Parts: sequence; C-alpha cells; structure tokens
Amino acid sequence: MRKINFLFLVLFVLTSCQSIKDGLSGNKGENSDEFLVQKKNPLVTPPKYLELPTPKSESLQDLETSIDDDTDIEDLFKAESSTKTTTKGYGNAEEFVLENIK
Amino acid sequence: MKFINNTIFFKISIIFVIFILDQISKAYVINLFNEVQFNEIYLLKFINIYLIWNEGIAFGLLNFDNEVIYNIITYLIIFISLVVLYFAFKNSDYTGYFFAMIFGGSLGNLCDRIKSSAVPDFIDFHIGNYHWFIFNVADIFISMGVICLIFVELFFNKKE
Repeated sequence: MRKINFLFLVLFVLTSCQSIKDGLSGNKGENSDEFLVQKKNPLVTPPKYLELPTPKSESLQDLETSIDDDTDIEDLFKAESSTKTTTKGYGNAEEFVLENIK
Repeated sequence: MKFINNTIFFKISIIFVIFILDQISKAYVINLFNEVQFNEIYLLKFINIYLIWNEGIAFGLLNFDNEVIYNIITYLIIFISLVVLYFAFKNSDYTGYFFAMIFGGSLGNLCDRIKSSAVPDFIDFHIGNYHWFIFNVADIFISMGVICLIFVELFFNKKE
C-alpha cells in the first residue's frame, strides 16, 4: 500500500497537466497584444431619457372611442336633416326635371 | 568483460528515447505556434493542440507566482526523480523498465522547468465538450509507467 501511495505521489508531482480553464483564462497562455484591442465605450443612458413620454394606451383609446361615439351621433342627425331638406325641395325626379326645363 | 549489461543499456535507451521524443514534440509545437500566431489547432475530432504553460504540478496545482515556492517544488521534483531513478536501476525485473519510463518523462518536464521556468502542455483530449487536462508527451509516459506499476502491485505482487 505504501508503494501505491508513493506511485500516486510520483504521478501528481512529476506530471504537469493543466486544466483547459486555466489556459482559456489567459493567465499563462500566450495572449494577443492588449494594445491592439479596441476599448469599448461604456454603456450610458441616452440624453433626456427620463423626459421621454410614457405610453398611455388605455386612457388614449378611451378618449378616442368617446369622441368617435359623439361625432357619429351628430353626423347621423345632420345627414338625416339634409336629406329631409333635399326631398322637401324636389319631391320626386319627375318634378325636378320639369322644373329645370321650365 | 562487459561494463554495462543489456538491462542497464536498455533502461538508459528508454530514458533517452522518451526524453528526446518529449523535447522534439515540445520544440515542434512551440515553433508551430510562433509561426501560426494562433493559440489552438484542431488536429482530430477528439484531439486539439492548445499550447499553455504550466508552472505548477499535475492538474495545474501549486501554481504560484512566488519564486521561492517554485524553487521548492522544483527541488521536490528533482528529489522524487532521483528516487525513481534509483528504483529503475535497483529493480532488476520488468518494474525497473516502468520506473525508467517514468524517469524519462520526468526528466523531460524537469528540463523545461529549469530551462523555461514552466512546462509546455499542448495535447487537449476531449469528447464533445468534455475536456481532459491538457498534457504533453512526457505526461503520457509517466502516467503509463505509474498505471503499469499500480497494476503490477495490485495483481502480481503476492508478498503483502
């Protein structure tokens, strides 16, 4: 058993394998020239970021629908009244033609 | 009269061949990466060549920037290597060849440790995304020698 322990000691001390993680971290590897790497600009918030309007979708939609409803009713009334006036003026197509001939 | 018998000559040959193989492979890979300017070469589906320098021992352990600790570890490696060398020539049976294999590999790593203050590792064995530790040719022979000796100790040594 002592001999096996000694052999494990030999294996640990004499070999020189290394984890790929250490290699990828670049501590002991041959790194590229750090001065050739372009430095990135730091992340910043855009100017007047806080002054940008917040979306008010629900309230705006309600307002629009209410306006549409009002205008529709008014338009309907107006259209009805105009058609009435036109029909009152000429009666039917025969009267309209006779009136224009005269 | 023969001053060196065949067994000793064969053991010295094993040490020498492993040392030369290790040094040639390391020199080739270092030159290759100097020319290519990449850090990684895809060789096979499960083997990449990825050069890193290890200043510690196995599995990247005892990897410190302190020079005193580095020197202490180097002296420890020299001491254990000499013990391995002693066993290589003391054991007249086939275990002596396994110790010679271990010493050949350790000599290669020790040479780089003294020459370059770090050992280059470059064989990246992986299955899919699961990477084994990056090792070199010397590590292969050391591991093979140790595994063979443990195998002999477990299954063929009937003294204990």
